[in-house]
Amino acid sequence: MRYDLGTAFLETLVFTMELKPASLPPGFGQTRGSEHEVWLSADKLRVIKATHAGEFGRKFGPDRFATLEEYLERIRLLNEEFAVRWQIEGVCGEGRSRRLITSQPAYHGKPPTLAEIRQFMLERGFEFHRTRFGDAWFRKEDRMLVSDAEPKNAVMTENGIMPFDFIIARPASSLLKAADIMRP
Amino acid sequence: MSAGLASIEEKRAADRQRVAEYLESQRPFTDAEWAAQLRLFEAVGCDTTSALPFWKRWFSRWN
Repeated sequence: MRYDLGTAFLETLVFTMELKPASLPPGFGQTRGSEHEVWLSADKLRVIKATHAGEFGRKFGPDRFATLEEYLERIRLLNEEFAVRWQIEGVCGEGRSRRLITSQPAYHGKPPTLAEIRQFMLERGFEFHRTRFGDAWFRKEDRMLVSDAEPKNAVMTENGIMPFDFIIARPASSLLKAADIMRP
Repeated sequence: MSAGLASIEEKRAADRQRVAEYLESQRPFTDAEWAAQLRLFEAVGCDTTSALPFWKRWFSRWN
């Protein structure tokens, strides 16, 4: 499904069946990362991820914490770019307790090396940038920016790297200029 | 579509195929495999934020 994620549309999604209510199933909190609490699904084929209460992951730039709108856009772009099959299960809680519950295939493997990630990104046309907001990969053709491309956020499987938790966005020109990725 | 964008779309299509092939032969994790994989990722993750107390995590929003 492709759509422009405007705020009003998102609010509609949250309060209609598109982002249906979800509960935290048994097993919740097996491991805690900087953005999510993660556990294995009952059939042991998918990884369930819950954002921390009142948070929707991180983003590249000075603000660091993403909005719900930005998080949903990240899911859409990560699927579009790397086909990782990240899907939305629902929302849990309200206000500062709200969490977004999502799931992804449980990829068997190990963390890739930085060199393997570098090769993976170069093959897809990204250029590396060391910026004041951290390391990032940018592709000028479609203005796609990937950050947090670290070994902890990808799995090296028998079929290659699955980047399940890279942060991806199409940032505004102002942010690209602030990061010195795009010159004024 | 420019040559650059066409090349990007080819890569995306290849990735969709690659993931689909992985999922065709995907098998469930055993509890031992899952525990081992978590340990591997925790070892490289050295998570920087989640280990902090909640008030430091909140404080970091404004700093």
